[in-house]
Amino acid sequence: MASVAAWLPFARAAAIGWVPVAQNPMPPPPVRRENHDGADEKLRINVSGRSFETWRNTLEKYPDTLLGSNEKEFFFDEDSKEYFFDRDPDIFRHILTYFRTGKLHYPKHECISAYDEELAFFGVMPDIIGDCCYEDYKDRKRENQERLLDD
Amino acid sequence: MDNDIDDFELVVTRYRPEGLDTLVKNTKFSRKELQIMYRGFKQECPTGIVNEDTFREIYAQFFPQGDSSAYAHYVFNTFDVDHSGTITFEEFVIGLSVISRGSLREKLEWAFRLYDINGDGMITKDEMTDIVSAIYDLMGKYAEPVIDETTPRDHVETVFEKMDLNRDGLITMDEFMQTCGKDDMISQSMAVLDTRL
Repeated sequence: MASVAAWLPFARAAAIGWVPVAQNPMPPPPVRRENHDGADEKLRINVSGRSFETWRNTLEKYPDTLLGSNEKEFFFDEDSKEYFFDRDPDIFRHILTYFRTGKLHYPKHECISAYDEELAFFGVMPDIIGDCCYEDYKDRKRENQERLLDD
Repeated sequence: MDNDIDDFELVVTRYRPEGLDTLVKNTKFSRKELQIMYRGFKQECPTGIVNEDTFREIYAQFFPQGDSSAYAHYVFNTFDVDHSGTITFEEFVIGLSVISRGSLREKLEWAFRLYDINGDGMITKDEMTDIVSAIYDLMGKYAEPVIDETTPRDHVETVFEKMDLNRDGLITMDEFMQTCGKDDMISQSMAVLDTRL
């Protein structure tokens, strides 16, 4: 919904089509939210030294996750004005892509356990892996479980 | 197999809009507003072109309680001035500039084009009924008072009563402008629908 917010002026303006046939006057516009400008704020996420930047509303798309909720405030570094995570930056890239596109990809060269652990940390559910990567993910998961059983 | 993939990638068309400065000049939006809108546009339509399906999906997110597809279809056609089936960012933003910040007359002209589904310069009762039904669908179960099947027809009769000045069953642009332009409620309502980003 966050990126769709940019379409709000359009959804509102297209309502002028209703005016000539409306039986009641249009209600006054909603009061402007105080944090309106903040919604478009750019923020920096430092993952073990590698810097990522994104819009705040990109993260707010998924409010149940660590980055989408105020849980991330626990990781805000007041001195450097950035969020700092002592986590794997390579896997983090895929987590951030999920916020941007809504699709979670599985990088085949990564260990499945390490990948799952990063997802768990950031509160992203592995069941939303895209169709393009789902088979690979499931196969690797099965292999890994068999291996653990053998041990 | 490889060829199939190459062919598939070749048909992906990309569109790059005119520069930001040009759009600042040609629309009533500020630089910052255009930036915010283009980022939202590219996020939903990475190729830079919006087709009707995407348009409907975006619309549906604003009206989850009703069925917005019919209204979205009519709005899409009004924006798609050259009837190409796609809308570029310029078409989108120039149309939006007119309907959100244009003069009362420009806004009314847009509404007229929306109702004039076949584009022949006149609004028939059937056309008006299609539009009114689409608006009722959009409102869904939150419409007040609760609507039934005869409501759109009755509603259209009321509108024609007011706008069809010579009683020939058709509303022309002149009749539309005369009746809507004089109506205080319409003029005031037209003014409240703009959003500043």
